Amino acid sequence: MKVSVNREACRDTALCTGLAPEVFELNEQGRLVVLVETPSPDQLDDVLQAVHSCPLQALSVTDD
Amino acid sequence: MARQRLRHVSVVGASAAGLSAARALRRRGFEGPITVFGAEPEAAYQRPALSKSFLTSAALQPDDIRLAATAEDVRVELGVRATGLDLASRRLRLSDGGRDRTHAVDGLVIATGAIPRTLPMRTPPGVHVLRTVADAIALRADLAHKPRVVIVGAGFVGSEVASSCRTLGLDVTLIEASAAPMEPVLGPEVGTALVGLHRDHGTLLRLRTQVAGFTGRDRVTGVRLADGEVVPADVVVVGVGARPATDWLLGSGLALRDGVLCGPDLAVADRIVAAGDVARWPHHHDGARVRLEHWDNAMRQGDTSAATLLAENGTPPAFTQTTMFWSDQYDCKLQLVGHPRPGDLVSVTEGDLTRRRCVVVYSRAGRMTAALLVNSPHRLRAYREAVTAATPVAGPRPSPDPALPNAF
Repeated sequence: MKVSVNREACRDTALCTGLAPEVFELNEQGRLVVLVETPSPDQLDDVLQAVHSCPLQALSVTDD
Repeated sequence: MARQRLRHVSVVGASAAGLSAARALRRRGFEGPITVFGAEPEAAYQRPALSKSFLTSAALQPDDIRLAATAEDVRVELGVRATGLDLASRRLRLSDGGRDRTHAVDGLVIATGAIPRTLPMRTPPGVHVLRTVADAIALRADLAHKPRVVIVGAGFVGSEVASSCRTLGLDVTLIEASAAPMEPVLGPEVGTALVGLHRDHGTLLRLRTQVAGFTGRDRVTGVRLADGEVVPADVVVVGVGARPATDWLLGSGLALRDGVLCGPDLAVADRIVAAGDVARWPHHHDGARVRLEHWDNAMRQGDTSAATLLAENGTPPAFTQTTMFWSDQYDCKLQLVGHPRPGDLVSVTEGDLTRRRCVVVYSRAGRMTAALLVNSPHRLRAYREAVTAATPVAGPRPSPDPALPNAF
């Protein structure tokens, strides 16, 4: 599974950084950074929570 | 208590909390039927966008802000309003535009959200509230005529609408009953900074000002203040908060007090849980009952409420997560972690509030309850952890080292 961010849609709300802190983080400029593009199976649950919870629907996971 | 195995689940409310609960039920392995009832005819959408990009971008359509499909094998019935709950027979009363029916429930998630408060006075056309996508479409259409806009209430919705209207180049007057925007929630220090924010962006503020009514019959022409002055207006937006949508539960026997009263696990009664704006639960920090109207809170509570429904013989999980709220106003990004309450001690731990780049910490009994990040998103992780841990807070003095809040 690969995580990607739609930069057009992302408004750096950072809700995903709370739901999957190992995978998402904000940088010094406050922009969303994907720390782990291919999350491990035990990270996947949190990542899917973040994907569904994004209020801008800016996150997606795709098969590699 | 040995519970009966859950056979099917009804979810009342098809927005963030309800859909999150439906999804969590499936993710957690529930295989029985799930039916979600939504009062609005629209499929779920990104509610936080309504006061922001959706207002300023005329090209955006409801389909552009749609939430992704919920979960596999979840039945969603839209335009169906719950009008009652009979606990004895475990039946929901439903209405879909004049046709009434009942629906047998086993597990039930109450996620009906909140409805905007209105002012107890005659409201002519041109006076808006903003909660649903239909509200936003109506407001946006009115804003296209370059009106003079008066906003009643400088809470999050009112402040964001003011910001969006200024982005559209409109004349905006923001009327607030308290001494400063969001002062009741964020305290006077932040309120003062927000006064500056609005003024610097050309929004006219009328503080400590009560509204007595509206002028105009076929169309609003102004807002009449308590002292008799009339502020001219072509469009009015009333943003004076929301109340939990619990009217349909009156007489059901469930305990209602500004929300549906829940346990720490969001349980309301046998196989009944609540989540999101409608739920009032004892906060894990001190047991005080709180209710939050935040997206993040709704999503996370949806998940916990599902876990509680499924915790058949085990111990249901308490809702102890630190939730977050954000607000974009002009060039300012506000991020609130945790839940400040009136009476909390306020201290700026990093940066400078007057420059609108800082961290404001809220504490109670020497423990951090919340942190407001003003244009400081890179500090989010540190403060989320600090709030989650209820970190001891030293005292209200500025930290000499901007890299380290004195709270640590």
